[in-house]
Amino acid sequence: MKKIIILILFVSLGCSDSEDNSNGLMMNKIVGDWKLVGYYDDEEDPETGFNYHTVENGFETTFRQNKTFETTFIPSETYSGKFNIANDSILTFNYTITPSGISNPERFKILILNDNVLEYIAPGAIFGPQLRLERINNP
Amino acid sequence: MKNYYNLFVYLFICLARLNAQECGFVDTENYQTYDQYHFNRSSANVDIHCINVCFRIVRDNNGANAAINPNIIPQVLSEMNSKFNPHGIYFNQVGTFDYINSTNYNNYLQGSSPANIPNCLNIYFIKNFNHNPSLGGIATFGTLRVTIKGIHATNDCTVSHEVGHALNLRHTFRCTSTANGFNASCAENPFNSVECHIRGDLVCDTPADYTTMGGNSNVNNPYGLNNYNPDKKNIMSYWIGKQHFSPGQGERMFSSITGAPELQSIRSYNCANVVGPSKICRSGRIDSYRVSVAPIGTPTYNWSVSGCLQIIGSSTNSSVNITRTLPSTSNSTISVTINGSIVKTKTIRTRCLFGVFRMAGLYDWVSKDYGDMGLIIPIDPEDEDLDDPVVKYMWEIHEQESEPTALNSENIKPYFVGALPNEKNIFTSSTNQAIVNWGNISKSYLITCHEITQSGEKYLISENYVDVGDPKNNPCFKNNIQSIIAPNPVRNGLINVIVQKPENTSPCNYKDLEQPQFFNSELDKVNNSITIFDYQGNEIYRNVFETNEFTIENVNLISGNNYVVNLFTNEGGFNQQVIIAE
Ligand SMILES: [Zn+2]
Repeated sequence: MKKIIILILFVSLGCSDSEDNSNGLMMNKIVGDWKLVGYYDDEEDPETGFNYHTVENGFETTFRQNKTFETTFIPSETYSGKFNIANDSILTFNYTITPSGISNPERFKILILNDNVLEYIAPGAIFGPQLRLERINNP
Repeated sequence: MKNYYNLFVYLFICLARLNAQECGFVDTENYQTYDQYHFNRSSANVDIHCINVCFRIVRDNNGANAAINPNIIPQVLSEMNSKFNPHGIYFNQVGTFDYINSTNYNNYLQGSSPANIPNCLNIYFIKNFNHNPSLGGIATFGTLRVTIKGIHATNDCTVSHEVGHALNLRHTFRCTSTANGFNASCAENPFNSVECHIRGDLVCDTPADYTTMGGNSNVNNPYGLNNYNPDKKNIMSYWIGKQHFSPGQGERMFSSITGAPELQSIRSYNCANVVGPSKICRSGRIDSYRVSVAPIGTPTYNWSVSGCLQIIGSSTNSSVNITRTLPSTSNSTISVTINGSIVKTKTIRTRCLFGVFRMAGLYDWVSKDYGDMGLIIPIDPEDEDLDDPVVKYMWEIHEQESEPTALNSENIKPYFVGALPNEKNIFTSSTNQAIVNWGNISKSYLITCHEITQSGEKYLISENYVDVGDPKNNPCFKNNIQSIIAPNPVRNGLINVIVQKPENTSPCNYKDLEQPQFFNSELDKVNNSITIFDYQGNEIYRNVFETNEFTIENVNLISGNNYVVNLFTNEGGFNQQVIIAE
């Protein structure tokens, strides 16, 4: 009887924690340096027959373990602040733009996050763009 | 993302880096330039384009999981036509639809695209874009292929947006909001539309736009998003609530269909109509008819007619001249065979209730200082061309140029009540009614009325000479004719009319124009012709009574509405009264 109760407790704890765990895994996985390499939208590339478009000199983003991030755009704009991953792969940013000093929150849905690829899109965007970032060096 | 910049610093930086490579945007170059196929649709009488479309429903390999229910295809086609028709572009559905069993393409896996059906724009409905689960559709110019996620088939103009790409339209925010931010080399300036034909969407009447859908897409924008005033209803934008293309986008698509080699194979004559007057009511009149669809290459035409019509001149050109012969038949047809195989026919009326010219409820002689007088053009509903209905009427008062009236402060020329101050002799009405004031000058005038159809065709339907003169010279004693209508308000659709005429009046001498006029025909010499119009100008009753006291029964009047009763008498009397239904 004792064993059963312990088992039930264990299972229920495991269930309630599964999303947090998955978001926690994603938080670990996203840490590092990323670079925008391309995007998907609703326009087909006649060369490839697909809707993926490459970007040269894409922005670079660093996600840190302490939930801060910094995104650098060419020519000279930087977004820095906090990020979080929660609620079914929603990636949120709260940042300040340098040099304008403007602050913004922003939300994206993560569609792919593995060792090398991060893809996300604004919720509700039915034409895209779905951004594709690739890791530029491992943490 | 919202960006607020020091405008001048960043404008300088972006201008200093006018280089697509540095801004990180790789553009697809398959779209045609606007100048290359620019073609000005300046008038409503310009031809239309007809595009073949094939609807293709993708399912899984086993025939299950169809992307849409085919029952919604009419709704999809209807939305497309409603958005493109105003720009002269019509869609012809080839066949009904076909099913494609391909699990891979139903999920849009790379390399799984089925072969297009030739000679039509292929519109594929799939279940899901596997790698882009949020995506609603995909298209581009030149592939003759549009792919739509089934659940978005009737959603926020998604199909029209993608078909817009297929017909050479770009996004309204092109280069302003890219995945990597602002691209100075090709972004449109919201303050200044210079170079609008080579920047942004390459169309000049769409304001500079940005989109909030891309996250980082507005980075490095030197102008500040608050300074944009985008058309948020534009179908080629990413705003929610899309409604229309701009005229410039319509022109760009139209020109591309006219000239782009990529689009020639999907053009069609199947939406074509024979365009021209819906009636020829008078012998000797010559009217021109043409095919509505712009020529595709160098087609052959072969025109033929039936009934009481006759072709004047060539029958193998793109348009044909046609006249009416006697004896008349009630209907006749005009047909054209295009390229030896496509036959289009128009049936027209060749015997008409009113003839070509109608009286506008108008004396041919009026006293000076008569004041305001209502004019109504009779309308025969059977004369209406359902393909091209009349949308307005244009009235004009013409004065003989040879003897212009010296104007002084006391002389008042005839004018239309409600006309524009600088053109008081012209009046455009949405109904068949106008109010004229005859002024105070003794003179002859010509009053004309044209009907103008939805497509912009303009037909003369009434031409009346009027002498404005001194009351004592009234040749017809018209002012002496009176009518009494009782009861008024009218009850139960019963209208009692008493016409009071002075004794010893004689029929009036009307102007003898070249053609027999309304009042001169045998039909029109009958006594006491009554017409009743509603205030929308629709004729709701017409009859002739031999006696001077008569009752009109069973007139279907709407309670509380006003109606105009026109009375013409054999003596030339005319009376106009307003009645109200109880
Ligand atoms: Zn698009």
